[in-house]
Amino acid sequence: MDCSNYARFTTRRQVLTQTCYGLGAAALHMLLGGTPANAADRPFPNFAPRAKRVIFLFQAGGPSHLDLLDYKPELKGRFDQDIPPSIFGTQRVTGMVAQQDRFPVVPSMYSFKQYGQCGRWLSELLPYTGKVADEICVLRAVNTEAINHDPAITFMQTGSQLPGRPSFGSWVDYGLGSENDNLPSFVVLNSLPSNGMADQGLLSRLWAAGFLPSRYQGVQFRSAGDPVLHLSNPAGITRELRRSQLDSLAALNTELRGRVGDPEIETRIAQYEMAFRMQTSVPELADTSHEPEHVHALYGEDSRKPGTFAANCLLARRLAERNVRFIQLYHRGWDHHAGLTEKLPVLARDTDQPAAGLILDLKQRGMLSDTLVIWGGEFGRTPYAQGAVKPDSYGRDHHGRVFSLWMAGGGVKPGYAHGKSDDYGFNVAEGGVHVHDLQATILYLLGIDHQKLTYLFQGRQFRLTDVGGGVVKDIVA
Amino acid sequence: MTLLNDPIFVEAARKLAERAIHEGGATPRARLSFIFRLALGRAANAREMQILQKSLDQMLTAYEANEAGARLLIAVGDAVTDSSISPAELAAYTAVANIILNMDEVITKG
Repeated sequence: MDCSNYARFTTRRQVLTQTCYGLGAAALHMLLGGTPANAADRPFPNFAPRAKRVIFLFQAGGPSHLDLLDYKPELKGRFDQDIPPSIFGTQRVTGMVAQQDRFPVVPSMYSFKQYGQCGRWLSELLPYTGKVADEICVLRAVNTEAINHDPAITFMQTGSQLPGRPSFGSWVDYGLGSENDNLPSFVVLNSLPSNGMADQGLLSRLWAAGFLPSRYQGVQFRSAGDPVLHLSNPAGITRELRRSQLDSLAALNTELRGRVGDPEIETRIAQYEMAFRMQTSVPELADTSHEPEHVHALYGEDSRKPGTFAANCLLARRLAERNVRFIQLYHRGWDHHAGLTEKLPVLARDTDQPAAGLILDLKQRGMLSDTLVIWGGEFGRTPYAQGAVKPDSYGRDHHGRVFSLWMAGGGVKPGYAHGKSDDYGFNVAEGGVHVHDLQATILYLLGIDHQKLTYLFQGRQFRLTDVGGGVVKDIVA
Repeated sequence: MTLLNDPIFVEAARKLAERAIHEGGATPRARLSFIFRLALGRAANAREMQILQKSLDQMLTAYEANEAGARLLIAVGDAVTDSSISPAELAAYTAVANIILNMDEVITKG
C-alpha cells in the first residue's frame, strides 16, 4: 500500500513560483487556494458584517409566488385567457407542459390583503407572516435560469446548476470559520410536510463541500429521534476511556498523515474530535423540554413534534444562539403541478407560523439584528395552469423567470419590498435579482466580498457566484 | 460515531480481540500485530506499535480496576462472550481493536 504519491506537500510549480517571486510560504499557500490555518489568517470578513449567521428556510419544490407573496390583481379578469406572446416570449417550458396546446391564465383563488405599517400585500394563506410584515423584506423579482428542481436547487445552493461545487454553507464556513468549537458550523435540518407528500428528493450533495476540504461539508441532524445516531459511548466505555482511545487514534492517524501527506486525514482527526464534543453538546442542544410555553406558542403546537418544520425552526434558533454559522433547513412538498389548491394551504400552514415565530423569537432575544433569515424556494410557479383549469382548482408548472422570496434581520431593510414582476407575474418588470445577485448579497451581509471568496481548483479560481453576481444594495438597511 | 459506537462495530472489535488472544500469540505485541495485520494488511511500524502498546496498557489498568465496566463492554452485541478470557483482558483488547478499526487507513481508500 504505497501512498507515496500523496507525499507532495509542495509541487514543482509551487517551488518555482516561490523561488521566482519570493513569496512567503504562508502567503503562497493562501494564494494557491490553501486553507487558512487559523482565524487570524483569514482574509474575511472584508468589511464589517451586518449578519453573523444565516438561517435559510429552504422551501424545496417551488412555492407559487402568485398565490403567496406576489399579488396580481390584474389577473382576476383574465381567467382562462391565453398568456399573450409578448409576455410569454421565449419561455422554455418543461416537458410536463410541452404537450399542452395552450397556456391559460389562472389567477390566484386566494384573497390578498395589506399587512403592517408597510402595507405589504400578502395572501390569506400567510396570516402569521402578515403579522411580521414590518420585519421582512420581500424580493419579488428573483430569477433563475433553471427550470427543474435538482438543477435549480443546486444552483441556489452552489451557484452552478451542475453538481460538484461547494454548498453555500460550506463557502461561508470556509471563509469565516466557526464560532462554536462544540458544534459543526454548517448544520442541515430536513423536515417533512404534514401531508406526507415530499415529492422531491434532497441529495446530501446539496450540503457537500465540493472541492473544498471535506471538513466544510454540512452536517445533517436527523429530524426524528436522536439528532445524531450512536452519540453515546458503548456500555463500559467511560468518557475518560473514550478520550484515551481518541488520543491513541489521533496519534495513529497523525503518524499516517506524516507518511502519506493526505490532508483529508486532518479532516478525519478533526471529525473524531468534533464527534467527541458533540456527545455532550448535541443532547443539550436538542433538549427543548425547558423551552417555556410562550416560546412554543410562537412557533405553534407542531414545535413539540420532532421532524416538523416548526420543531426545526425552534432547533434553528437554538443553533443560532450557539453561534452556528449557517443553518440550512429544508421543507419539502411545494411542487404543485396539480391539486395546488389542495396542497398549498397545507404547506403554507406548515411554514407560516413557525417562520414568523422564528423572527419574533429572534427579535425578543435581540438576535434578529445579526441573524439573517431567508424563506424561499428554487423557483416559482407559472401564471398559466398545468392541466385542467377551474377558478378554484388548478395546478401550476415550474417558473424561474420571476419569483419571490423574503428575507428578514441581518442588516436587511425591514418592511420593504424590492423589485416587481410584470402584470402576469411572468417576467421581471424592475429590480430583478438573479440567483448570483442573491448569493452576492447574502455574502455581503456576512461581510464578505463575493469576488474575493475564491478557491483554486483544477487550475482556476472558483467562487460561489461563479462569474456573475452583484450586491443588491437597495435591500441593505 | 457509527464506527466507534454502533454495537455491531463494538461487537466486531470484541470478536477480533478474541481471535487475537487465541490465535495471535502469547505476547501483547504478537496479539496487537495480529489485529493490525488483519485490519490493514500490513505490519505495524515501530511508532504505531508503541502507540498501541501504550493504549493497551492504559485499557488493561482501567479495566482491571473496573471489572464491572469490562463486563459491560464485552456484553455489547449478540455474539456469545468468550468466558475463557478474563473480562479485563478481553475488554482492553476490544477497546484497542475498536481504535484500530477506526484508523483512517482502515476506513478509506487503499
